[in-house]
Amino acid sequence: MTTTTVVLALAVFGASAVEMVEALTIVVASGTTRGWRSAIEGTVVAVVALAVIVAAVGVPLATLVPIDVLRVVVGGLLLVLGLNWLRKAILRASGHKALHDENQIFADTVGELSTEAGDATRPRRDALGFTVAFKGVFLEGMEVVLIVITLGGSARHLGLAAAAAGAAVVIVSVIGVLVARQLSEVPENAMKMVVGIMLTSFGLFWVGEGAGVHWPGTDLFLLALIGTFSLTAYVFSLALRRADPLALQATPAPTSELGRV
Amino acid sequence: MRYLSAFGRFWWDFLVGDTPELFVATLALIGLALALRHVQAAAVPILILAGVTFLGASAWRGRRRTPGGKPSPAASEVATPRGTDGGGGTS
Repeated sequence: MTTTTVVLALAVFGASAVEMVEALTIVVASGTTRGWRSAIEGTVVAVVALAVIVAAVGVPLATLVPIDVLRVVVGGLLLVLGLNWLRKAILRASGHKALHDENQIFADTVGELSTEAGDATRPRRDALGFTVAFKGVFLEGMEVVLIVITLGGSARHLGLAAAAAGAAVVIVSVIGVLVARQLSEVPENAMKMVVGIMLTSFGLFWVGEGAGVHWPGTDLFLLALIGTFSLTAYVFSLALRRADPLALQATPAPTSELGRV
Repeated sequence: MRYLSAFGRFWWDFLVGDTPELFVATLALIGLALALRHVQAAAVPILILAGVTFLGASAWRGRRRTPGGKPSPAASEVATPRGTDGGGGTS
């Protein structure tokens, strides 16, 4: 197994896990207020739709498009995605952006759904519960699909990327159900920082490869890029924190007991 | 037509959103990689330096966009998860 393969699997797994935490928050909110049957049905339909998109777009992309062209385009997409994740993670770590609050999202979704008449205890279909769960999983999952297609397609490991994403979906779901703890306790910002570093490193690596730049040590240079962007993220977080020392104090604390699942 | 417009909006939000500088940075990195592919010795450090610089500039811009360099309220992020400061349609 090459360095690229290992980093690819880790990046897809991490990105999928982060998005799944967000999706699961919405599904649980929908399930508890509108009934589990509709929430689960909405989730299953969304997952199937996402898998169809991966197969319909990813397979032709990975097999028909010339590898160098694919790597430049895909590298570009990964750079846009990775730089955005990393930028947000830096701003959150330095206190310039509020941390993602799953409790608040849960409370908001429950509040929104509770205003409509519904009975969570009755095992019948509920259109609103279905739609909210479907949209939550589908929208959060679209980013995972993009990552699976781009990373898997350009490394010619679409199956591995899809499997890593699937594993993350299963593991987060099982933990969410079995442990039944706050999803907000997942260190989401740290995970996003790590995934952002990986996506940015992959993006730059493939843009270079596709364009014809030869990285020293080929695949191993990916680790050097990961190290560089990790250091960069740390230094920028520190610098921004020092530039505004009051920013961290002003960051609102997470909501206390809301949204235990 | 509605789906086409939604599809276009998705890609606009994903690629540009409210961090157009990162979209421009990506195009610049692709351009640099293509331009420097015959100058291998310079290509590697320049690409890395450019990537780091673009990231730093965008993060600094994000800091300056919050009032007085202070964090935006949590509520604003929660109310608009695809957010005011996010860009790229990313979480």
